[in-house]
Amino acid sequence: MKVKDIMTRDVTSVGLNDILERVVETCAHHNREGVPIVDDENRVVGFVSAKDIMSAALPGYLEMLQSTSFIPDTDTLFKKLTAIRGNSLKDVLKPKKVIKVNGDDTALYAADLIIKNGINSLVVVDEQDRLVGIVSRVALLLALLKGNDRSKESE
Amino acid sequence: MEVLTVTLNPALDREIVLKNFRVNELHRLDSQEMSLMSPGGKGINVSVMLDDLGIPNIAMGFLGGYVGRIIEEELRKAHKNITTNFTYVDEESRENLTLIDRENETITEINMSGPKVSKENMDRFLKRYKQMLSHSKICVISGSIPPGVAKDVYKQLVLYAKEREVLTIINARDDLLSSALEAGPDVVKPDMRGEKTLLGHELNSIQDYIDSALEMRRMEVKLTVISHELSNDVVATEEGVWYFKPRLRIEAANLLGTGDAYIAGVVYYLYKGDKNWKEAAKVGMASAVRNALSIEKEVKIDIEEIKEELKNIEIERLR
Repeated sequence: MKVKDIMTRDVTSVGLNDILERVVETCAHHNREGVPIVDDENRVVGFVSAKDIMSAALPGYLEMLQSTSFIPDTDTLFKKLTAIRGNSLKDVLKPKKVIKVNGDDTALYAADLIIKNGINSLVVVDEQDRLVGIVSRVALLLALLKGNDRSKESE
Repeated sequence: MEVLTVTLNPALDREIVLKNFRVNELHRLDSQEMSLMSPGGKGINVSVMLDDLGIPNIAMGFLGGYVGRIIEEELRKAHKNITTNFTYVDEESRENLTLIDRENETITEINMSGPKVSKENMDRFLKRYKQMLSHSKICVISGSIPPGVAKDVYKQLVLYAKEREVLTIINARDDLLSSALEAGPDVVKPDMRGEKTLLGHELNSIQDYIDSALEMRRMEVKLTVISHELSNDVVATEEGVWYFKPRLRIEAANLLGTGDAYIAGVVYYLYKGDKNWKEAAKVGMASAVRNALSIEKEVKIDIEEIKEELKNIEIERLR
């Protein structure tokens, strides 16, 4: 079974100049935990997840602390998020390598990448690195289960 | 290289088949099959038919709310060759209701207007549209526009496509067509359901049809197709003007979706790389005739059937 057989053929994406609020809305509209970032020619240049945005909104000092339970101000996250909602992705996002697969890669390879990198979904690109689809963990499992049923029927 | 279809105002189509439809009466349906639900809107219909013909394509436009999500999911679920790329708006997508009466052979259609599209929504759509054009070869622009979108939007879409040397096909009502013509689309098929008006003129005699077709040609449209008397077409290319007529008698009740099947046929021909416009019109009509053999909107057409139908089209030169 190949990636192209199980991927969701949707090329919803955002650009580096899009503001955070828009990115969150796009994720919500499509019921996704993240979306690919593409350039003007639809080539994948990154991926932004809800988790990335949340960590961008968390106060920097939290990383140094063991627990947040003693911080009295519960508004901190809200205030920071409100402050950066209008900022563009390129100003907020920390650069990181985007994990991509090809339509002709195997489903096993995709599953391996998802597990090793601890991510929710994989970006699928063509030979020119253009976005052609997406593979989520659930979609992958569902496709594998259904595929298995079909092979049983044919036996 | 792919085909792009633009449906600015998609719909969830609901087809209800009943006997002796009457206003002011209660109708009970015999079974679930009498009530069908499918993604619709003219561009989306073309996408679905292209999928049947094995042509990969990207469907674009605006969707909103729960109805929008259903349209998108249904579109992908049943069609392997379709990639979705929709821009979401705040309001709900529309639903189109079609009541098909088999007893009296009538069709009653109720098309809703659609969600409001803001300037910001439009800018986001245009950005994604340009991204998709960068690797497409044919762009189909079809159907009505939702509230909030400028009447000359199709002109802008054609201009962007031409900048990127993407072939453009437009199938829309006269009021949306006229400004688009200034940008020089390649193929134009006016949507003549309802008013028989073109470029602001009312079409009555066959001469009116020929004049309009010639005017389109002057505006550098490579192929103009104007439907005449239910199932016939006046077709104009650089080489001349013709009257196309299928041998088969077409029932009025079966015309649902034939305009979209026509466009799918034309795209199928052009996608293979041929550039004989008159031949493209023939394949378009053959595809439409095949679609018209049944009353339902969604009729699977295959290329062998289209090829078979090509023999049954009579062509007469008008100019």
